[in-house]
Amino acid sequence: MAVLPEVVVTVLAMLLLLLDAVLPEHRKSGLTWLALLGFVVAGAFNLYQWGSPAQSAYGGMVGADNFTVFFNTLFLATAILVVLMAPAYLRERALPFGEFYSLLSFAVLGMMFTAASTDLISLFVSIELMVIAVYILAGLARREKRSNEASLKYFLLGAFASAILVYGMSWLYGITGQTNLAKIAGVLKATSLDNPLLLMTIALLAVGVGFKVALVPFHAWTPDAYEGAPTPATAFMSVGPKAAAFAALLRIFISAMGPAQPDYSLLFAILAVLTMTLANVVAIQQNNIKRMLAYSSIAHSGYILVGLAAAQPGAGSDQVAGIPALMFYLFVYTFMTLGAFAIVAYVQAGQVTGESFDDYRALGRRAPMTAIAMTLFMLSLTGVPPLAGFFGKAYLILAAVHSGMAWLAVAMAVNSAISAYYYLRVVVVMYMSDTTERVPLYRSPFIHSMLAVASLATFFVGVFADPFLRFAQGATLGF
Amino acid sequence: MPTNYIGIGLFILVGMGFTGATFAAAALIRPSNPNPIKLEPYECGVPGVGDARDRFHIRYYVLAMLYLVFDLEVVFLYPWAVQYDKLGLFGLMEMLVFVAILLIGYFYAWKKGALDWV
Amino acid sequence: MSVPLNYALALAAVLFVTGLAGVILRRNILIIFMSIELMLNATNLNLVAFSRYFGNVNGQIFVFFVLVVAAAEAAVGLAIIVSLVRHYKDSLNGDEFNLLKG
Repeated sequence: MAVLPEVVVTVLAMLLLLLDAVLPEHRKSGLTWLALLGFVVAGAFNLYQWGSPAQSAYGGMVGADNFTVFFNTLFLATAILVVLMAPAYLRERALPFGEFYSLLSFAVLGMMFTAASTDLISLFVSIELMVIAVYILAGLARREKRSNEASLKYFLLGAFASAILVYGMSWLYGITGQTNLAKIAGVLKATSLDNPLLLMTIALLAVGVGFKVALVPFHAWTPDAYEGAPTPATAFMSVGPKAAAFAALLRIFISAMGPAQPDYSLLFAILAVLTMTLANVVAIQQNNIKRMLAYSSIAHSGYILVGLAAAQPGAGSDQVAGIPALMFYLFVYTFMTLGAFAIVAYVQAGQVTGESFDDYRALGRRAPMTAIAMTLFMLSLTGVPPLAGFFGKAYLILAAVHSGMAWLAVAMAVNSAISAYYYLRVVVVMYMSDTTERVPLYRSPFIHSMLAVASLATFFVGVFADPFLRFAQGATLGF
Repeated sequence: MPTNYIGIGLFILVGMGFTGATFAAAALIRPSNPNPIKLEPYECGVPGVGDARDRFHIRYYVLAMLYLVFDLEVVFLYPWAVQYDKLGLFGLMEMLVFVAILLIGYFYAWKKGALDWV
Repeated sequence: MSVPLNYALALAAVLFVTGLAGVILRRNILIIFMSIELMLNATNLNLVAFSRYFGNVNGQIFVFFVLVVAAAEAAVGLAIIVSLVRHYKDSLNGDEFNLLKG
């Protein structure tokens, strides 16, 4: 069964939905355990498939190979960490447990199928399954104006992006006569590439996916949606759908349009520089930590995109190739970003608003372990060695240099330096300012274990980067 | 080339002509006896309230959305029905799973009270 | 004798650009939403035209899925709009939803 992990998540999502409808209110916190169990079981089935020969399912619409195992690992880890961070926040704000977990499962299912899609049709349906669930997650706090507004903005721009994306897909089908990604690549290889329609198609697809991964200038929805959504949903949005959108980007631009790589490499390089520079400059001016992290997440999309710009299809698992570097960075990014958002959720759960920098005053004294974890995440996001973020950036820079785009590498290094300013500002506030406030932090074994896992991952993936890099390289052998 | 459209043109003309003729004939033949009850939109039904251009209650939206989703899922039944002979038992099972998943959604909406007219 | 492919593609392009302009220029969120639906339908026209041109059914299958996804999107989108309008006292002007800004 090639799609066993996906089947498990499907059953989980529907089971959660049914139980949410029939269980009495006070028993619903048990759904946390069910969600954890489901994701862990799916993760076990998924890892079991590592290294087995590539299979396909549903009439060639979906494939299962090391690439999907890698991304499924990423998605299921994201899901588990989000489930762990959510209960404290949800309970404090009286948000519905069952719906949160169920929508989360549906979104994860969409993400898994996005990475597994080998056909334009399944790719589109999977992306939509993911984003529609996430629109609702963003608006889950429906008595809060801000959550509603976040949901609406995310929805309108997301639907707009989907429409552009699917129009681009229709042209890709029109140029090649195929919807299967591998067959599209075959047709493109055999035909002339200086076709103006092909350039238009590349532009449409890049804009469509660019919205989903929040590239400048298609990022306008991101800060608003991230700020207004409930924090666990924000954490999920900043990691899961973004990683899945990058998987879709790889599927479209490498699996299907690999032969047209010379046409789009420069486009993505320019978008990457634009994205990281603008996001970093704006992030400096933010006083709301969720908005700051939102711009940080946009900047990281820019870094990750360097991997695609530097990709050389066919180079496969080369030590300094762009695609493994991109995937390794996604892996690293997942843990440090989820960790940072979990701390925001944690500080918020203790009844303070927890969104301004002032709420982090003297956190080093009020909650020493939490402050250490936050420091770790901030340093890793900056890219300080020997943490995971450093190696992620180093591999991307190497890949850029290796593919002859030294200016891209320089831009990335300069941007990392700029970003240090706002990341370290959090650390300074936590340790070097005082407060009279004595608000106790919320205690939940779930969120503590989540923070422990995220911190350990951020630390060890940095110190022992090699096996994880080889995991990413092994996953790209198909390309 | 334009000759291909002669048929369509004729069809449109005949269609419009027929409609016009029936209305004209009906206007000539039928008895005309206007009175307030006769002029109500539903002569034998519930008396109309307000104007159709009024704002609708938000409850209609919930039902409309549910209708929309379940209505369009039926689209997938057509290709299956057309190819039923070829797909056989396997196709039937797949379709039952599909319908079962839809029923879960229906059950959820029902339990959550989306179908209640409070 | 059938309609040439280019005619259908041109019509789809016009519809798509109309929808695009609607999303960018209009302020009423319901009209923005309808413009997005117009863009999706332009895509459907494109797909059906190509499907006929190539003589394979992939495009038509794609249209099925685009239709259903559009319906799901509409259901969720309208729900979000209804929920929002309850909070904002009957306004549908996109410019008034400005609680979140940097």
